[in-house]
Amino acid sequence: MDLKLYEIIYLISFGFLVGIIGSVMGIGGGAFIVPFLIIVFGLNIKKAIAVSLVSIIATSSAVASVNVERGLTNVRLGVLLEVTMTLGSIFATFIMISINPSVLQVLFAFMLLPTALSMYMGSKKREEDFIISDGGNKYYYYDPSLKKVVSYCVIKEKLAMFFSFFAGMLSGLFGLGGGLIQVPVMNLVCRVPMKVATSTSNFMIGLSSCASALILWKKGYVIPNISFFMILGVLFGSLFGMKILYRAKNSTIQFAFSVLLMITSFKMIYEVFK
Amino acid sequence: MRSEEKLFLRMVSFILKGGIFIFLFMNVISYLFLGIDPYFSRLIRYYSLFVLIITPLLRILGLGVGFLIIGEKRYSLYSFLVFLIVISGLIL
Repeated sequence: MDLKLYEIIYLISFGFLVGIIGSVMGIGGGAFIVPFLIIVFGLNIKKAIAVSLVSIIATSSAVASVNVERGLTNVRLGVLLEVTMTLGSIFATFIMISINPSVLQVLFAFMLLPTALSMYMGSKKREEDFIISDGGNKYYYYDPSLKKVVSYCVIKEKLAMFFSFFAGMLSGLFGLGGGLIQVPVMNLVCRVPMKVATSTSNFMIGLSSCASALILWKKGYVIPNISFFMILGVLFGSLFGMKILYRAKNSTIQFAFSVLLMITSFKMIYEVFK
Repeated sequence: MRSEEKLFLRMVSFILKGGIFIFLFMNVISYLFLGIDPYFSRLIRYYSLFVLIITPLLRILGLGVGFLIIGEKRYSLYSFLVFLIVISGLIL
């Protein structure tokens, strides 16, 4: 597919914004990429999902490469949850390949509404609300926004693994990373601090996206041109976003993007029924 | 954090960064060849995506080896299990 200059600029600019959101909030940005590619470029939803998954891999790899060294990522929890997450991802990818594209698009649009609500609810929580240090294995990280070393324990890992399966299904079915489930699950169920939850989610979503993307790449759904420019924007956005993550709070960004997701959801439903 | 663990996390970070750099480098090469040999250019771009896609897979393999070296066999087993799950998805 040959791209015009203004299309390349759109892809890079949009990828940049998505990269920022992704690195700050611990999500891949698929909830924004897929509708953008369908609405602006007129792509078939399955190809849009394939491009989204590859972009998520880029975001995840870029952000995780820094956060792992900073000690923000809980790699042990990440590896544990990846077991069920990848299973869910592969299972859902095979379902996605066989579903009618219009049905998939409507399902995706309706799925955005609870996602927007989850983001809105997340914007109301304080950073310090879920830091505890009793029970389970103890972990530590330095938080510059609180200016202290924070200790926390991880609990209810088996329950989190159960939810991870569904996070993986989001990845395979809709081209999302699964971070929209993973971050609240780690924060609320496992009682992991928000920054660690977002970092660990960023770390994990690359692999669940990899599991689906490999299948879709093999079947020829990934469009190299569009993928490259989207990834370029996403990489620059991720690098910029990482500077924000380490020092800022998430609530304003979460609120703004919950509103954007709501608007996108209605637009996508409208496009299908038009 | 122990020094062996810091070293193995650095290795994981290196794998992730390496995957991204190789992907970008291959795309730069592909655009250089665009006017000379369009078919070869498209081929490089196609396989650059494959390199990016398998980066997390190499990461999990690195984690498996790293956990084994620092003596955490349980997490090493989980890592290799995840690797096998992803590979089996590709084979099916």
